[in-house]
Amino acid sequence: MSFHSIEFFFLLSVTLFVLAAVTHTARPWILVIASYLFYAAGSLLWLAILVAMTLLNFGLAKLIERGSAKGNGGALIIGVVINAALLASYKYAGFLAETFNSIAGCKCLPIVSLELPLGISFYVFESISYIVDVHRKRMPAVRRLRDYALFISFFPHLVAGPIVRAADFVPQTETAKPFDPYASRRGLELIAVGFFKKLVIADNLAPFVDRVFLNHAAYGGGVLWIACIAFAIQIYCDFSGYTDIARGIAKLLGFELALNFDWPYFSRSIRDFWRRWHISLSSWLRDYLYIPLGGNRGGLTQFASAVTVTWFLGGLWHGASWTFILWGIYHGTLVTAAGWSRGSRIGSLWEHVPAPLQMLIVFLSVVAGWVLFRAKTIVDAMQIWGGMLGLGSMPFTEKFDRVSPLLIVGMLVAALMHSITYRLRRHQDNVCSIGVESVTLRVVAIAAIIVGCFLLAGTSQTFIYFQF
Amino acid sequence: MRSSKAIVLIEVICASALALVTIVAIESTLRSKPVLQWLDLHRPPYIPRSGLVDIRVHVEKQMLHLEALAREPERRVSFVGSSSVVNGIDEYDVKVALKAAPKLQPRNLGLTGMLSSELSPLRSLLVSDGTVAVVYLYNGFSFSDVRNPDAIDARGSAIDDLNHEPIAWWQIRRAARFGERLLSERLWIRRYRNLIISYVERILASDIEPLRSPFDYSVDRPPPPMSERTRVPRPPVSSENWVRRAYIESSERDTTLGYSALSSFCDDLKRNNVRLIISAAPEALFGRTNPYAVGIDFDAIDARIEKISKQCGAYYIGRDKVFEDDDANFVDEVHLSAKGREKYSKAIGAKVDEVLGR
Repeated sequence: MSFHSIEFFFLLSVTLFVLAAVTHTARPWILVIASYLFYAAGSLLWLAILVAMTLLNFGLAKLIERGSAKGNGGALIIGVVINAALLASYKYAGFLAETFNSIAGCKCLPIVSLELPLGISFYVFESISYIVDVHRKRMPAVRRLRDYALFISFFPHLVAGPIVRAADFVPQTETAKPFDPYASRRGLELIAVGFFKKLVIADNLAPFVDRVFLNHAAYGGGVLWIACIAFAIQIYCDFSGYTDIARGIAKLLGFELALNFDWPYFSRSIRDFWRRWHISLSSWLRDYLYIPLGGNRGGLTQFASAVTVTWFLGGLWHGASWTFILWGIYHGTLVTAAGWSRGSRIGSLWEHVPAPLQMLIVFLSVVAGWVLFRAKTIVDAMQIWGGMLGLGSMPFTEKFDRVSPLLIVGMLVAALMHSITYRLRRHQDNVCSIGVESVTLRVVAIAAIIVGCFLLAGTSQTFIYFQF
Repeated sequence: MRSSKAIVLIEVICASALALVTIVAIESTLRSKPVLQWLDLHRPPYIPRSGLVDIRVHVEKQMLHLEALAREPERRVSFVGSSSVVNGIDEYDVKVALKAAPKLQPRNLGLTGMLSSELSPLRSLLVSDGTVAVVYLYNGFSFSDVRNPDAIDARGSAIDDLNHEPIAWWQIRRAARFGERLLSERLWIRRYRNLIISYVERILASDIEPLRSPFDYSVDRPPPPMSERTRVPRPPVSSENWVRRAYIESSERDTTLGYSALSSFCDDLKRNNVRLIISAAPEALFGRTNPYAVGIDFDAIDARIEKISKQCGAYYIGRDKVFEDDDANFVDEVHLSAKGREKYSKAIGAKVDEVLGR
């Protein structure tokens, strides 16, 4: 069930109506039921797995709490292994078998492809972070099953994040107040902005991006560059649009979800980019992988190893494919290089580069990385890179006339709007919503967004991050 | 708390109202006569398979042309049918042939892939107050139950579909789709969305000019190569293909939605004193062996239509097999060449003249 489906609108309306009618103590149960209905719309089997994992992790956390008091980490290891095994069996079994068979040159292992339960990558990470936090005594085990079930299944974040931490979410089950006027207004603003990003920008760019990536050999470098930049905008608007809607709905329900995007394309270094892009994942990787692996506490070699392993797994998290793994390694390499250069001559030179140029260089590096993310195979990615550098078989301007001027104008308008809201945000510390305090301007802006969604919505596409 | 809730509510209502007023203003501008005339005059040419004009834009442009013509206060003969009509009827040549009724304006109201089940939903556009006669030219695929998937959004009727297949109370998704379609059909900014975008693109590219030729193919387009004009039957495409299914259903069944729709349309016109003339659209004989039409009994279809015509008082013109056997008249299986169009338009014009002159 997608946020832009009528079924979801129906479910949300009924949920809000029921929440208004019941007592404060019953509200979490209503939200759990609504979340389970939301998830069951995808598959009853998926719901069964979610419920089973909820019960398992809830029970394990209690054991871990008791065990860690005695210095026993057995239950934690069992918990992490079971969670990781669940994710691996659904997401990576086929990929591993295929890789083994191609290395061994045989069909030794059967390739089983199971339908990936929606949001499994997100809720498994949430479960792991919870039991680890309990083990580390950062938080006590959740007392009520109801609260834990809501933390895992809360429908605004269930299928595509943000990856929520129990320590942030669970206390809200007691304090959440739906229909708070100011939170609701911010929530509605976020929902409107999110839908605009998704329906108007991402969905209109998708057909062009799909067409070029599907048949990249027929296009010259110019079109490939435009397609890659269009994909950078598409994936940002798709994913951050989803997050805005999720955060907006959570606000209506009285909850606060963590910020997941903070104008990442205005980053001045690649490390800065990863502090601003998919923040809930990058902070998860930092806290539960990179730091336990040693982080930057040892020498440069340990730093490089920690970063590489972290980014290898970060890439793998996105999908069972070598393109995602290489995409992770690509970013890992950039982060390592940036880390090594700190304090060196190159590092001090970088500090003297004007900020807009820094942003442009970081943006283009990220765009080059998106090629790996979007391409079907590594060979395709190499060919696209070659084409972008003018080394392809087609002239650089091949099929340039096929690029709709409206697409270019749309991309420029999107970039301009992004820049304006970035400036407003810097002045007003107003993250991710309309960014204006004047009531009149805000009303006009929301009206413009509604009209834009109504008139300019592209062909409906599934959210990109649903596949992860 | 209560006052802050009220302020937020007022903001939401103001924003929604402003959005609604804006949408209504844009819609009214689009429907105004000068804008509609300009859009109709500058409709985009069809360049098949180039990817420059997609089929949705093509279908929407034909519909908008019908909307523009429906506002013209003229006495007319409407030629209705599929792309065989779009490319087969030259209004000028027909007018020259209309000697008994020289003040009548022939109008080509062809719509790509049109099926006879669309006659009723499109009636208000096909038959205006000044319409004296309708000439319906059918193809071998015209009478099936299937829908043209490319035309549902621009030409379909949600109400009509609802009458054929009611929605149960638990079918939320279908109900939502129905609501969305109903809205899209009522609002031009939604119904002609792809077309409007194409105008914006052409304006941005400084590539907008009045449509030079209403036909889809250039006048010098030759007939297809000999290899495609074989009389030897070729293997059929899968019956999953909607065109193939449409041919099969039209040929094998006489109780389809298409046949009953034609009967109803015919009765309706008779009640309103509008003359209906029915004829087979010219389809090349070499086209009967192609993978879509191979094995189809065209004679059975013609016999059914002749029977329906007699029953409801329409005038039926038989198939001109000599014309259909001359490959030079066609650019492909169902579309006429410039030469074929001229010959056919004059011939059908003379026939219509004869019928109306009686």
